[in-house]
Amino acid sequence: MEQIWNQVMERLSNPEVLFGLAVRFFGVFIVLIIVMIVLYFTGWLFQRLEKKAEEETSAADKGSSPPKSTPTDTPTGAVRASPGSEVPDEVAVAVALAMVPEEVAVAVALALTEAVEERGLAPRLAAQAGVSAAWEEPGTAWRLVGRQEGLFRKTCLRRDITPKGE
Amino acid sequence: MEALEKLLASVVDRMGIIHLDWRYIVMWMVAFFFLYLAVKKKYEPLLLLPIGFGIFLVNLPLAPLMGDHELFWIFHHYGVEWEVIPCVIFLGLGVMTDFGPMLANPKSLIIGAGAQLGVFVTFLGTYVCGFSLPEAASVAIIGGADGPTTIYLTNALAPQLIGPNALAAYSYMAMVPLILPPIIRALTTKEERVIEMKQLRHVSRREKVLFPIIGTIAIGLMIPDILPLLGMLMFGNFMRESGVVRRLSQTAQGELMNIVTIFLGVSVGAAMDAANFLNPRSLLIFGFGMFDFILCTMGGVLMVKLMNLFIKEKMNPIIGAAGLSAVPMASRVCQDMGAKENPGNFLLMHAMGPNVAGVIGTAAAAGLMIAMFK
Repeated sequence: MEQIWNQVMERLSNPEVLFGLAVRFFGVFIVLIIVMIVLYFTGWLFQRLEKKAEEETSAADKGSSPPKSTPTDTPTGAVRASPGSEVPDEVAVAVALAMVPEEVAVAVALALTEAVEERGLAPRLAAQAGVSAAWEEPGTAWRLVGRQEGLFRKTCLRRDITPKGE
Repeated sequence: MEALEKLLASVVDRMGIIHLDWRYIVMWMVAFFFLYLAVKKKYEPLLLLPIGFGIFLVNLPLAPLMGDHELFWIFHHYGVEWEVIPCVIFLGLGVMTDFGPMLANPKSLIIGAGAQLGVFVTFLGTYVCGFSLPEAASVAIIGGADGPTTIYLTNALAPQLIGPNALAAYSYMAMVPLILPPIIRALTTKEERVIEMKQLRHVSRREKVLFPIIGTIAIGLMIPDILPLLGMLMFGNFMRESGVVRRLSQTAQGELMNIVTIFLGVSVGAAMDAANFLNPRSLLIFGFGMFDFILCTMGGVLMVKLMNLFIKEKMNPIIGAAGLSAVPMASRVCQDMGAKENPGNFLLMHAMGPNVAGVIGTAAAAGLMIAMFK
Protein backbone atom coordinates (compact mmCIF):
# COMPACT_ATOMS: atom_id res chain seq x y z
CA MET A 1 0.00 0.00 0.00
CA GLU A 2 2.75 2.34 1.00
CA GLN A 3 4.59 1.49 -2.18
CA ILE A 4 1.57 2.45 -4.29
CA TRP A 5 1.15 5.66 -2.32
CA ASN A 6 4.82 6.53 -2.84
CA GLN A 7 4.45 5.79 -6.53
CA VAL A 8 1.43 8.09 -6.78
CA MET A 9 3.21 10.87 -4.90
CA GLU A 10 6.24 10.46 -7.08
CA ARG A 11 4.13 10.80 -10.19
CA LEU A 12 2.32 13.82 -8.81
CA SER A 13 5.57 15.49 -7.83
CA ASN A 14 6.34 15.88 -11.51
CA PRO A 15 5.84 19.64 -11.93
CA GLU A 16 4.62 19.16 -15.46
CA VAL A 17 1.56 17.32 -14.17
CA LEU A 18 -0.18 19.56 -11.67
CA PHE A 19 1.11 22.83 -13.08
CA GLY A 20 0.39 21.74 -16.64
CA LEU A 21 -3.05 20.57 -15.62
CA ALA A 22 -3.90 23.91 -14.05
CA VAL A 23 -2.58 25.76 -17.09
CA ARG A 24 -4.66 23.63 -19.45
CA PHE A 25 -7.84 23.79 -17.38
CA PHE A 26 -7.71 27.54 -16.98
CA GLY A 27 -6.45 27.79 -20.54
CA VAL A 28 -9.76 26.40 -21.80
CA PHE A 29 -11.63 28.94 -19.68
CA ILE A 30 -9.44 31.79 -20.89
CA VAL A 31 -9.88 30.84 -24.54
CA LEU A 32 -13.63 30.47 -24.22
CA ILE A 33 -13.99 33.65 -22.17
CA ILE A 34 -12.14 35.56 -24.89
CA VAL A 35 -14.45 34.06 -27.53
CA MET A 36 -17.43 34.96 -25.34
CA ILE A 37 -16.30 38.57 -25.05
CA VAL A 38 -15.80 38.73 -28.81
CA LEU A 39 -19.31 37.31 -29.34
CA TYR A 40 -20.88 39.76 -26.89
CA PHE A 41 -19.16 42.63 -28.62
CA THR A 42 -20.10 41.53 -32.15
CA GLY A 43 -23.65 40.75 -31.01
CA TRP A 44 -24.02 44.20 -29.51
CA LEU A 45 -22.57 45.79 -32.64
CA PHE A 46 -24.85 43.91 -35.02
CA GLN A 47 -27.90 44.55 -32.88
CA ARG A 48 -27.17 48.26 -32.97
CA LEU A 49 -26.62 48.21 -36.71
CA GLU A 50 -29.87 46.34 -37.26
CA LYS A 51 -31.82 48.62 -34.98
CA LYS A 52 -30.49 51.60 -36.87
CA ALA A 53 -31.36 50.06 -40.23
CA GLU A 54 -34.85 49.20 -38.96
CA GLU A 55 -35.42 52.72 -37.72
CA GLU A 56 -34.33 54.11 -41.06
CA THR A 57 -36.66 51.75 -42.93
CA SER A 58 -39.64 52.51 -40.72
CA ALA A 59 -39.00 56.25 -41.03
CA ALA A 60 -38.90 55.90 -44.81
CA ASP A 61 -42.12 53.83 -44.77
CA LYS A 62 -43.93 56.39 -42.66
CA GLY A 63 -42.98 59.12 -45.06
CA SER A 64 -44.14 57.32 -48.20
CA SER A 65 -47.05 54.94 -47.41
CA PRO A 66 -50.72 55.98 -46.92
CA PRO A 67 -52.17 55.66 -43.40
CA LYS A 68 -53.05 52.07 -42.53
CA SER A 69 -56.59 51.05 -41.80
CA THR A 70 -57.24 49.65 -38.35
CA PRO A 71 -59.45 46.66 -37.58
CA THR A 72 -62.11 48.95 -36.15
CA ASP A 73 -62.38 50.77 -39.47
CA THR A 74 -63.61 47.61 -41.19
CA PRO A 75 -67.15 46.24 -40.99
CA THR A 76 -66.64 42.75 -39.56
CA GLY A 77 -69.87 41.37 -40.95
CA ALA A 78 -68.47 41.41 -44.49
CA VAL A 79 -65.69 38.99 -43.59
CA ARG A 80 -68.09 36.63 -41.90
CA ALA A 81 -69.98 36.13 -45.14
CA SER A 82 -71.44 32.65 -44.98
CA PRO A 83 -71.08 30.22 -47.91
CA GLY A 84 -74.65 30.93 -49.00
CA SER A 85 -74.45 34.71 -48.78
CA GLU A 86 -74.54 37.12 -51.66
CA VAL A 87 -71.11 38.58 -50.92
CA PRO A 88 -68.59 37.36 -53.52
CA ASP A 89 -65.29 35.82 -52.35
CA GLU A 90 -63.23 38.60 -53.89
CA VAL A 91 -64.99 41.18 -51.74
CA ALA A 92 -64.44 39.10 -48.61
CA VAL A 93 -60.77 38.75 -49.47
CA ALA A 94 -60.42 42.45 -50.14
CA VAL A 95 -61.99 43.30 -46.82
CA ALA A 96 -59.84 40.69 -45.05
CA LEU A 97 -56.73 42.10 -46.67
CA ALA A 98 -57.45 45.38 -45.05
CA MET A 99 -58.14 44.05 -41.59
CA VAL A 100 -55.64 41.23 -41.00
CA PRO A 101 -52.54 42.26 -39.06
CA GLU A 102 -49.32 42.41 -41.00
CA GLU A 103 -47.63 39.83 -38.75
CA VAL A 104 -50.07 37.18 -39.97
CA ALA A 105 -49.17 37.97 -43.55
CA VAL A 106 -45.46 37.71 -42.79
CA ALA A 107 -45.98 34.41 -40.99
CA VAL A 108 -47.94 33.04 -43.93
CA ALA A 109 -45.27 34.19 -46.37
CA LEU A 110 -42.59 32.50 -44.24
CA ALA A 111 -44.61 29.31 -44.03
CA LEU A 112 -44.99 29.31 -47.80
CA THR A 113 -41.24 29.88 -48.23
CA GLU A 114 -40.53 26.92 -45.96
CA ALA A 115 -42.99 24.78 -47.87
CA VAL A 116 -41.34 25.72 -51.16
CA GLU A 117 -37.90 24.90 -49.74
CA GLU A 118 -39.09 21.60 -48.26
CA ARG A 119 -40.40 20.43 -51.59
CA GLY A 120 -37.03 21.13 -53.15
CA LEU A 121 -38.44 23.80 -55.42
CA ALA A 122 -36.19 26.52 -54.10
CA PRO A 123 -33.08 25.88 -56.22
CA ARG A 124 -35.19 25.40 -59.36
CA LEU A 125 -37.18 28.54 -58.80
CA ALA A 126 -34.07 30.49 -57.88
CA ALA A 127 -32.36 29.29 -61.04
CA GLN A 128 -35.37 30.29 -63.12
CA ALA A 129 -35.53 33.69 -61.52
CA GLY A 130 -31.79 34.17 -61.90
CA VAL A 131 -31.45 35.30 -58.29
CA SER A 132 -31.29 33.36 -55.03
CA ALA A 133 -34.27 33.35 -52.69
CA ALA A 134 -36.16 36.19 -54.33
CA TRP A 135 -39.15 35.57 -52.06
CA GLU A 136 -37.03 36.41 -49.05
CA GLU A 137 -36.63 39.99 -50.15
CA PRO A 138 -39.18 42.37 -48.68
CA GLY A 139 -41.84 43.80 -50.92
CA THR A 140 -41.34 41.34 -53.76
CA ALA A 141 -44.07 39.75 -55.83
CA TRP A 142 -43.41 36.48 -54.04
CA ARG A 143 -44.26 37.95 -50.70
CA LEU A 144 -47.41 39.57 -52.03
CA VAL A 145 -48.52 36.31 -53.60
CA GLY A 146 -47.88 34.55 -50.30
CA ARG A 147 -49.81 37.19 -48.43
CA GLN A 148 -52.80 37.05 -50.77
CA GLU A 149 -52.87 33.27 -50.82
CA GLY A 150 -52.66 33.02 -47.05
CA LEU A 151 -55.30 35.61 -46.45
CA PHE A 152 -57.64 34.02 -48.93
CA ARG A 153 -57.33 30.68 -47.15
CA LYS A 154 -57.83 32.26 -43.79
CA THR A 155 -60.94 34.08 -44.94
CA CYS A 156 -62.44 30.93 -46.42
CA LEU A 157 -61.71 29.04 -43.23
CA ARG A 158 -63.26 31.72 -41.08
CA ARG A 159 -66.31 31.81 -43.34
CA ASP A 160 -66.70 28.06 -43.10
CA ILE A 161 -66.44 27.83 -39.34
CA THR A 162 -68.73 30.79 -38.60
CA PRO A 163 -72.32 29.63 -37.94
CA LYS A 164 -74.88 30.94 -40.38
CA GLY A 165 -76.75 34.10 -39.42
CA GLU A 166 -73.93 35.57 -37.34
CA MET B 1 -0.09 -39.85 -49.69
CA GLU B 2 2.27 -37.62 -47.73
CA ALA B 3 1.60 -34.78 -50.17
CA LEU B 4 -2.13 -35.24 -49.74
CA GLU B 5 -1.76 -35.19 -45.98
CA LYS B 6 0.28 -32.00 -46.21
CA LEU B 7 -2.31 -30.40 -48.45
CA LEU B 8 -5.09 -31.44 -46.13
CA ALA B 9 -3.19 -30.11 -43.13
CA SER B 10 -2.59 -26.79 -44.83
CA VAL B 11 -6.26 -26.55 -45.77
CA VAL B 12 -7.31 -27.36 -42.23
CA ASP B 13 -4.76 -24.92 -40.88
CA ARG B 14 -6.27 -22.16 -43.00
CA MET B 15 -9.68 -22.78 -41.45
CA GLY B 16 -10.65 -20.19 -38.88
CA ILE B 17 -12.35 -22.66 -36.60
CA ILE B 18 -9.02 -24.31 -35.78
CA HIS B 19 -7.72 -20.99 -34.43
CA LEU B 20 -10.84 -20.03 -32.55
CA ASP B 21 -10.32 -19.42 -28.83
CA TRP B 22 -12.22 -17.82 -25.95
CA ARG B 23 -10.89 -14.33 -26.67
CA TYR B 24 -12.61 -14.26 -30.05
CA ILE B 25 -15.85 -15.41 -28.46
CA VAL B 26 -15.62 -12.62 -25.86
CA MET B 27 -15.07 -10.09 -28.64
CA TRP B 28 -18.09 -11.44 -30.52
CA MET B 29 -20.12 -10.85 -27.37
CA VAL B 30 -18.84 -7.28 -27.26
CA ALA B 31 -19.72 -6.85 -30.96
CA PHE B 32 -23.20 -8.33 -30.47
CA PHE B 33 -23.75 -6.05 -27.50
CA PHE B 34 -23.06 -3.01 -29.70
CA LEU B 35 -25.27 -4.39 -32.45
CA TYR B 36 -28.00 -4.97 -29.89
CA LEU B 37 -27.72 -1.38 -28.64
CA ALA B 38 -27.86 -0.10 -32.21
CA VAL B 39 -30.65 -2.29 -33.58
CA LYS B 40 -32.87 -2.99 -30.61
CA LYS B 41 -32.30 0.05 -28.41
CA LYS B 42 -31.58 2.42 -31.30
CA TYR B 43 -28.72 4.11 -29.40
CA GLU B 44 -26.62 5.96 -31.98
CA PRO B 45 -27.24 3.24 -34.60
CA LEU B 46 -25.38 5.18 -37.29
CA LEU B 47 -22.17 4.66 -35.34
CA LEU B 48 -22.68 1.63 -33.18
CA LEU B 49 -23.85 -0.56 -36.03
CA PRO B 50 -20.72 -0.18 -38.20
CA ILE B 51 -18.51 -0.28 -35.09
CA GLY B 52 -20.19 -3.47 -33.87
CA PHE B 53 -19.95 -5.15 -37.23
CA GLY B 54 -16.33 -4.04 -37.62
CA ILE B 55 -15.49 -5.63 -34.25
CA PHE B 56 -17.26 -8.81 -35.28
CA LEU B 57 -15.45 -9.07 -38.61
CA VAL B 58 -11.92 -8.49 -37.33
CA ASN B 59 -12.45 -11.02 -34.60
CA LEU B 60 -13.01 -13.89 -36.97
CA PRO B 61 -9.78 -15.89 -36.85
CA LEU B 62 -7.47 -15.43 -39.84
CA ALA B 63 -9.70 -12.74 -41.38
CA PRO B 64 -7.52 -10.91 -43.91
CA LEU B 65 -8.78 -7.49 -42.90
CA MET B 66 -6.31 -5.71 -40.67
CA GLY B 67 -2.99 -6.96 -42.01
CA ASP B 68 -0.76 -4.64 -44.02
CA HIS B 69 -2.63 -3.24 -47.01
CA GLU B 70 -5.73 -5.28 -46.31
CA LEU B 71 -9.20 -3.76 -46.59
CA PHE B 72 -9.83 -2.43 -43.07
CA TRP B 73 -6.16 -1.53 -42.67
CA ILE B 74 -6.55 0.76 -45.68
CA PHE B 75 -9.67 2.39 -44.19
CA HIS B 76 -7.93 2.78 -40.85
CA HIS B 77 -4.60 3.92 -42.20
CA TYR B 78 -5.80 6.53 -44.66
CA GLY B 79 -8.95 7.54 -42.83
CA VAL B 80 -8.06 7.53 -39.16
CA GLU B 81 -4.27 7.52 -38.94
CA TRP B 82 -4.00 10.23 -41.53
CA GLU B 83 -6.62 12.15 -39.55
CA VAL B 84 -8.84 12.66 -42.56
CA ILE B 85 -12.12 11.23 -41.30
CA PRO B 86 -12.41 13.21 -38.03
CA CYS B 87 -11.84 16.45 -39.92
CA VAL B 88 -14.37 15.59 -42.63
CA ILE B 89 -16.89 14.68 -39.92
CA PHE B 90 -16.33 18.09 -38.37
CA LEU B 91 -17.01 19.64 -41.75
CA GLY B 92 -20.39 17.89 -41.89
CA LEU B 93 -21.04 18.76 -38.27
CA GLY B 94 -20.36 22.42 -39.08
CA VAL B 95 -22.92 22.35 -41.86
CA MET B 96 -25.50 20.74 -39.59
CA THR B 97 -24.89 22.99 -36.58
CA ASP B 98 -26.78 26.16 -35.90
CA PHE B 99 -24.60 28.35 -33.72
CA GLY B 100 -27.52 30.77 -33.28
CA PRO B 101 -28.39 29.71 -29.71
CA MET B 102 -24.77 30.15 -28.66
CA LEU B 103 -24.52 33.54 -30.37
CA ALA B 104 -27.75 34.61 -28.70
CA ASN B 105 -26.38 33.60 -25.30
CA PRO B 106 -22.55 33.68 -25.32
CA LYS B 107 -22.56 32.74 -21.61
CA SER B 108 -23.05 29.21 -22.91
CA LEU B 109 -19.34 29.12 -23.64
CA ILE B 110 -18.58 29.24 -19.93
CA ILE B 111 -20.88 26.26 -19.40
CA GLY B 112 -19.03 24.48 -22.21
CA ALA B 113 -15.75 25.21 -20.42
CA GLY B 114 -17.16 24.03 -17.08
CA ALA B 115 -18.13 20.74 -18.67
CA GLN B 116 -14.45 20.04 -19.32
CA LEU B 117 -13.91 19.49 -15.60
CA GLY B 118 -13.94 15.72 -16.03
CA VAL B 119 -11.31 15.87 -18.75
CA PHE B 120 -8.75 17.37 -16.40
CA VAL B 121 -9.61 15.31 -13.34
CA THR B 122 -9.47 12.12 -15.41
CA PHE B 123 -6.17 13.21 -16.88
CA LEU B 124 -4.74 13.28 -13.37
CA GLY B 125 -6.37 9.96 -12.45
CA THR B 126 -5.12 8.09 -15.50
CA TYR B 127 -1.64 9.51 -15.10
CA VAL B 128 -1.52 8.39 -11.48
CA CYS B 129 -2.67 4.92 -12.58
CA GLY B 130 0.42 4.47 -14.70
CA PHE B 131 -0.44 5.91 -18.10
CA SER B 132 2.10 8.23 -19.67
CA LEU B 133 1.21 11.93 -19.96
CA PRO B 134 0.18 11.76 -23.65
CA GLU B 135 -1.80 8.58 -22.99
CA ALA B 136 -3.50 10.17 -19.99
CA ALA B 137 -4.47 13.16 -22.14
CA SER B 138 -5.94 10.94 -24.84
CA VAL B 139 -7.99 8.95 -22.34
CA ALA B 140 -9.16 12.09 -20.55
CA ILE B 141 -10.65 13.63 -23.69
CA ILE B 142 -13.25 10.82 -23.83
CA GLY B 143 -15.35 12.77 -21.31
CA GLY B 144 -15.79 15.59 -23.79
CA ALA B 145 -18.20 13.21 -25.57
CA ASP B 146 -16.82 14.19 -28.93
CA GLY B 147 -15.86 11.20 -31.05
CA PRO B 148 -13.88 12.95 -33.81
CA THR B 149 -11.91 15.01 -31.28
CA THR B 150 -11.13 11.89 -29.26
CA ILE B 151 -9.86 10.12 -32.37
CA TYR B 152 -7.89 13.15 -33.50
CA LEU B 153 -6.18 13.66 -30.14
CA THR B 154 -5.54 9.98 -29.53
CA ASN B 155 -4.02 9.62 -32.94
CA ALA B 156 -1.78 12.59 -32.33
CA LEU B 157 -0.63 11.58 -28.84
CA ALA B 158 -1.18 7.87 -28.24
CA PRO B 159 -2.16 6.02 -31.44
CA GLN B 160 -1.86 2.65 -29.68
CA LEU B 161 -5.01 3.53 -27.69
CA ILE B 162 -7.16 4.49 -30.65
CA GLY B 163 -9.38 1.40 -30.48
CA PRO B 164 -10.39 1.42 -26.82
CA ASN B 165 -10.57 5.23 -26.67
CA ALA B 166 -12.81 5.60 -29.69
CA LEU B 167 -14.98 2.72 -28.61
CA ALA B 168 -15.35 4.09 -25.10
CA ALA B 169 -16.17 7.57 -26.43
CA TYR B 170 -18.81 6.37 -28.89
CA SER B 171 -20.39 3.83 -26.59
CA TYR B 172 -20.76 6.34 -23.77
CA MET B 173 -22.05 8.93 -26.24
CA ALA B 174 -24.71 6.43 -27.22
CA MET B 175 -25.62 6.09 -23.56
CA VAL B 176 -26.05 9.82 -22.95
CA PRO B 177 -29.84 9.40 -22.40
CA LEU B 178 -29.07 6.93 -19.60
CA ILE B 179 -26.10 8.71 -18.03
CA LEU B 180 -27.32 12.31 -17.86
CA PRO B 181 -30.73 12.24 -16.09
CA PRO B 182 -29.66 10.63 -12.77
CA ILE B 183 -26.70 13.01 -12.47
CA ILE B 184 -28.87 16.05 -13.18
CA ARG B 185 -31.46 14.87 -10.68
CA ALA B 186 -28.83 14.28 -8.04
CA LEU B 187 -27.32 17.74 -8.40
CA THR B 188 -30.45 19.89 -8.73
CA THR B 189 -33.60 20.60 -6.77
CA LYS B 190 -37.12 20.45 -8.18
CA GLU B 191 -37.34 24.26 -8.00
CA GLU B 192 -34.19 24.60 -10.09
CA ARG B 193 -35.37 22.13 -12.70
CA VAL B 194 -38.62 23.99 -13.34
CA ILE B 195 -36.95 27.35 -13.98
CA GLU B 196 -38.29 28.80 -17.21
CA MET B 197 -35.80 30.67 -19.31
CA LYS B 198 -36.42 33.83 -21.29
CA GLN B 199 -36.72 33.43 -25.02
CA LEU B 200 -33.38 33.87 -26.79
CA ARG B 201 -32.83 37.00 -28.83
CA HIS B 202 -33.05 36.90 -32.58
CA VAL B 203 -29.66 36.38 -34.21
CA SER B 204 -29.30 38.11 -37.55
CA ARG B 205 -28.07 36.32 -40.64
CA ARG B 206 -25.10 38.67 -40.80
CA GLU B 207 -23.99 37.59 -37.32
CA LYS B 208 -24.34 33.94 -38.24
CA VAL B 209 -22.36 34.37 -41.43
CA LEU B 210 -19.56 36.24 -39.73
CA PHE B 211 -19.28 33.95 -36.70
CA PRO B 212 -17.24 31.21 -38.44
CA ILE B 213 -14.68 33.80 -39.48
CA ILE B 214 -14.57 35.61 -36.14
CA GLY B 215 -14.54 32.31 -34.22
CA THR B 216 -11.74 30.90 -36.36
CA ILE B 217 -9.63 33.99 -35.85
CA ALA B 218 -10.29 34.08 -32.08
CA ILE B 219 -9.58 30.39 -31.46
CA GLY B 220 -7.10 29.77 -34.26
CA LEU B 221 -4.77 32.50 -33.08
CA MET B 222 -4.73 31.06 -29.57
CA ILE B 223 -4.71 27.30 -30.25
CA PRO B 224 -3.49 26.71 -33.81
CA ASP B 225 -3.02 22.98 -33.09
CA ILE B 226 -6.74 22.40 -33.25
CA LEU B 227 -7.30 24.23 -36.53
CA PRO B 228 -7.61 21.09 -38.68
CA LEU B 229 -10.71 20.18 -36.67
CA LEU B 230 -12.10 23.55 -35.72
CA GLY B 231 -11.25 25.09 -39.08
CA MET B 232 -13.29 22.42 -40.85
CA LEU B 233 -16.15 22.94 -38.40
CA MET B 234 -16.16 26.65 -39.11
CA PHE B 235 -15.76 26.11 -42.84
CA GLY B 236 -18.81 23.84 -42.84
CA ASN B 237 -20.77 26.36 -40.83
CA PHE B 238 -19.76 29.16 -43.17
CA MET B 239 -21.05 27.14 -46.13
CA ARG B 240 -24.34 26.68 -44.30
CA GLU B 241 -24.84 30.25 -43.21
CA SER B 242 -23.66 31.92 -46.40
CA GLY B 243 -26.48 30.13 -48.22
CA VAL B 244 -24.76 30.41 -51.59
CA VAL B 245 -23.39 26.87 -51.82
CA ARG B 246 -26.49 24.87 -51.08
CA ARG B 247 -25.26 21.92 -53.15
CA LEU B 248 -21.96 21.72 -51.27
CA SER B 249 -23.73 22.04 -47.92
CA GLN B 250 -26.13 19.27 -48.82
CA THR B 251 -23.27 17.02 -49.89
CA ALA B 252 -21.21 17.74 -46.77
CA GLN B 253 -24.06 16.99 -44.38
CA GLY B 254 -25.53 14.20 -46.48
CA GLU B 255 -23.63 11.83 -48.70
CA LEU B 256 -20.12 12.80 -47.58
CA MET B 257 -21.03 12.53 -43.91
CA ASN B 258 -22.68 9.17 -44.48
CA ILE B 259 -19.67 7.82 -46.37
CA VAL B 260 -17.12 8.88 -43.76
CA THR B 261 -19.38 7.63 -40.97
CA ILE B 262 -19.33 4.16 -42.52
CA PHE B 263 -15.54 4.21 -42.86
CA LEU B 264 -15.07 5.65 -39.38
CA GLY B 265 -17.35 3.10 -37.74
CA VAL B 266 -15.76 0.16 -39.47
CA SER B 267 -12.23 1.45 -38.85
CA VAL B 268 -12.85 2.02 -35.16
CA GLY B 269 -14.43 -1.43 -34.82
CA ALA B 270 -11.56 -2.95 -36.76
CA ALA B 271 -9.05 -1.56 -34.28
CA MET B 272 -10.69 -3.68 -31.59
CA ASP B 273 -9.13 -7.08 -32.09
CA ALA B 274 -8.99 -9.41 -29.12
CA ALA B 275 -5.29 -8.83 -28.42
CA ASN B 276 -5.80 -5.08 -28.41
CA PHE B 277 -8.93 -5.03 -26.31
CA LEU B 278 -8.70 -7.79 -23.77
CA ASN B 279 -6.14 -6.31 -21.43
CA PRO B 280 -6.39 -4.45 -18.13
CA ARG B 281 -5.51 -1.11 -19.72
CA SER B 282 -8.57 -1.24 -21.98
CA LEU B 283 -10.79 -2.00 -19.02
CA LEU B 284 -9.20 0.90 -17.14
CA ILE B 285 -9.89 3.15 -20.11
CA PHE B 286 -13.55 2.12 -20.08
CA GLY B 287 -13.73 2.73 -16.35
CA PHE B 288 -12.09 6.12 -16.60
CA GLY B 289 -14.29 6.97 -19.58
CA MET B 290 -17.42 6.52 -17.50
CA PHE B 291 -15.93 8.47 -14.59
CA ASP B 292 -14.98 11.20 -17.05
CA PHE B 293 -18.47 11.41 -18.53
CA ILE B 294 -20.03 11.69 -15.09
CA LEU B 295 -17.61 14.41 -14.02
CA CYS B 296 -18.08 16.38 -17.24
CA THR B 297 -21.86 16.30 -16.81
CA MET B 298 -21.46 17.37 -13.19
CA GLY B 299 -19.09 20.14 -14.26
CA GLY B 300 -21.67 21.61 -16.65
CA VAL B 301 -24.54 21.46 -14.16
CA LEU B 302 -22.46 22.88 -11.32
CA MET B 303 -21.18 25.64 -13.57
CA VAL B 304 -24.75 26.78 -14.29
CA LYS B 305 -25.53 26.72 -10.58
CA LEU B 306 -22.42 28.78 -9.91
CA MET B 307 -23.33 31.27 -12.63
CA ASN B 308 -26.86 31.54 -11.21
CA LEU B 309 -25.36 33.01 -8.04
CA PHE B 310 -24.14 36.01 -9.99
CA ILE B 311 -26.64 36.60 -12.80
CA LYS B 312 -30.05 38.24 -12.64
CA GLU B 313 -31.96 35.99 -15.03
CA LYS B 314 -31.49 32.49 -13.67
CA MET B 315 -30.69 29.63 -15.98
CA ASN B 316 -32.15 26.17 -15.66
CA PRO B 317 -29.25 23.96 -14.45
CA ILE B 318 -30.51 21.10 -16.61
CA ILE B 319 -28.94 22.81 -19.64
CA GLY B 320 -25.51 22.51 -17.99
CA ALA B 321 -25.53 18.81 -18.78
CA ALA B 322 -25.63 19.72 -22.46
CA GLY B 323 -22.11 21.06 -22.05
CA LEU B 324 -21.06 17.60 -23.16
CA SER B 325 -20.56 17.89 -26.87
CA ALA B 326 -22.78 14.99 -27.88
CA VAL B 327 -24.76 17.11 -30.35
CA PRO B 328 -27.76 17.14 -30.39
CA MET B 329 -28.50 14.17 -28.16
CA ALA B 330 -27.46 15.91 -24.95
CA SER B 331 -29.77 18.84 -25.79
CA ARG B 332 -32.62 16.51 -26.51
CA VAL B 333 -32.16 14.78 -23.17
CA CYS B 334 -32.24 18.20 -21.44
CA GLN B 335 -35.39 19.16 -23.35
CA ASP B 336 -37.13 15.92 -22.39
CA MET B 337 -36.13 16.26 -18.77
CA GLY B 338 -37.17 19.90 -18.59
CA ALA B 339 -40.52 19.12 -20.21
CA LYS B 340 -41.13 16.30 -17.72
CA GLU B 341 -40.54 18.64 -14.80
CA ASN B 342 -42.52 21.49 -16.30
CA PRO B 343 -44.54 20.74 -19.45
CA GLY B 344 -44.45 24.41 -20.45
CA ASN B 345 -40.69 24.53 -20.40
CA PHE B 346 -38.87 24.43 -23.73
CA LEU B 347 -35.18 24.04 -23.06
CA LEU B 348 -34.04 22.69 -26.41
CA MET B 349 -32.72 25.92 -27.87
CA HIS B 350 -31.26 27.00 -24.52
CA ALA B 351 -29.45 23.66 -24.28
CA MET B 352 -28.14 23.88 -27.83
CA GLY B 353 -25.96 26.84 -26.77
CA PRO B 354 -23.92 24.90 -24.18
CA ASN B 355 -24.01 21.88 -26.47
CA VAL B 356 -22.19 23.57 -29.35
CA ALA B 357 -20.05 25.44 -26.83
CA GLY B 358 -19.07 22.00 -25.54
CA VAL B 359 -17.82 21.08 -29.01
CA ILE B 360 -15.65 24.19 -29.03
CA GLY B 361 -14.58 23.60 -25.40
CA THR B 362 -13.54 20.01 -26.04
CA ALA B 363 -11.67 21.07 -29.17
CA ALA B 364 -9.93 23.80 -27.16
CA ALA B 365 -8.97 21.30 -24.44
CA ALA B 366 -7.67 18.89 -27.09
CA GLY B 367 -5.71 21.68 -28.74
CA LEU B 368 -4.07 22.62 -25.45
CA MET B 369 -3.20 18.97 -24.78
CA ILE B 370 -1.64 18.59 -28.23
CA ALA B 371 0.29 21.82 -27.80
CA MET B 372 1.81 20.52 -24.57
CA PHE B 373 2.55 16.91 -25.42
CA LYS B 374 3.15 16.58 -29.12
